[in-house]
Amino acid sequence: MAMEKIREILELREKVFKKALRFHADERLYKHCYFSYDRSTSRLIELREKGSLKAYAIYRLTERGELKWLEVLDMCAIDENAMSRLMRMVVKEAICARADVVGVWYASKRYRTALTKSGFLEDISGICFTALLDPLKLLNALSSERASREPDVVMGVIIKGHPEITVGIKGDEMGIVEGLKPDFFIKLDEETFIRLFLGQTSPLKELLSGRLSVSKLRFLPVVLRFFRSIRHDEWYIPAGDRL
Amino acid sequence: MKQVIRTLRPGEEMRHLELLNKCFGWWGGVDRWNRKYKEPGFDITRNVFVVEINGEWAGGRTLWFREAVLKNGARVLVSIAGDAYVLPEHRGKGIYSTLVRAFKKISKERGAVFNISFNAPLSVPGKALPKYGFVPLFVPSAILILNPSRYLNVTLNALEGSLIGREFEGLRLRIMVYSRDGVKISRSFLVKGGSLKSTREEPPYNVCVICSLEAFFRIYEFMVTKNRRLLALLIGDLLLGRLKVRLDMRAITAVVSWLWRR
Repeated sequence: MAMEKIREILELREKVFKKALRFHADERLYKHCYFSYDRSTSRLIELREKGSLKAYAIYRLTERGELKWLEVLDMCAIDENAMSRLMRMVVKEAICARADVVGVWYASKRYRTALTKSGFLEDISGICFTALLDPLKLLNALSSERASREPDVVMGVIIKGHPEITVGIKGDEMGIVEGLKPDFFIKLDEETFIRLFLGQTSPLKELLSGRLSVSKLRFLPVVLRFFRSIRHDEWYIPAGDRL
Repeated sequence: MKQVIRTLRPGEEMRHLELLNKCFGWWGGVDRWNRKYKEPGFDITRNVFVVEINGEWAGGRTLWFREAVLKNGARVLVSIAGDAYVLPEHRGKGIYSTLVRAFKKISKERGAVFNISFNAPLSVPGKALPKYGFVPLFVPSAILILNPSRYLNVTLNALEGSLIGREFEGLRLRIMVYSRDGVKISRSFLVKGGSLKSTREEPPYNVCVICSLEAFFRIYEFMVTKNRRLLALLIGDLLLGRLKVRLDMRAITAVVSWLWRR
């Protein structure tokens, strides 16, 4: 696989999933993960318009027990229409290869409709378990300079088992602050923090269930803004990126 | 019992691969090993770990590091744990727990923000990891069945040996799945020793399930995720006749007893 093509694939991925939580890959790593050793037979399907890449799928043919699978390792499309067209190309390829099943690990929920329309059934291929190790580093990476320098409100975040973190909130942004006394505190455990970070639950729900506590309830709108600023609703980890 | 965690030494790669294949049934060949263990920046003497009990190789696990990109474009380091195995003679000695705890510590020391693990839905780690602070995120996937008859035959055969509560011991179960193209496949099972065993027994059955291929998938997905949306869809399937479940008195008693225990 030519590096030029891989560069184009990575550019499309970055364009489509720029707001999603994803793994970074350079050309070398991507080539290694998708086109090397046991994946050296992987093939690429491209959908181009006026020469520019609009959608792609990387797949391989595998035998699992008595079934022949066409397994899509990565796919990405600029919009739903391109995804539907890409899926037609993938299915055509599967029929030509006499595959029994086409498996798509579509990584992002935005392709659900296009797949359902193409006759695909929803399935659960795996679970991605996540444990929080260093919340300070994570919040530091998400921190904005404006909120760190001139915060409207200062909040203390107490995550069970970790040192207290002081964050400043300004509008819809948050930033790590040092040397300021918090106006109020929130308390939660690691699991609740991850669920809120990954957009699996809402702060209000966690507050009602008692897993999240706020020392001064009048600051609740600030708490909601804080979690909105760190929340990652979308994530993109295709099958080929998994280990 | 002295437990020691150490990293893999040069020259031990093939022994590690051999043990992976021994513990997983078939993990893969040298090609798979090379892709996973020779990726750019990966060092077996830093990232592959071995647990020894009284000097004897008892299990292992591997850590990969990747940069994750956040929504603001910032990058953080994450660790991915995988390929965990414990040799059969050392299972039940807490080796997996030791590895999970140690990996969280090592990952943090090396600067990772998260520790991630990708697992199959009904696997042992899939059930064990939530006890160590891991939050499950279900990976969406979709399948298109081009050969329903073969697919259903293989899938229903794979139900053999599935663990099911002891409350259902002795029950006879019949599952029939049909697809839109008119393919109908059925299997009969007997619950013996707490698991499903294929049987050729004739009716009457204690439990009879007739469902469409779509409903069959939803049952499986619901068993894994306990998702409320799926429960609503399954209720819809029941109401629309795409899922029919018939239970006799003995089966109802078993279900009530199972629910009571839970």
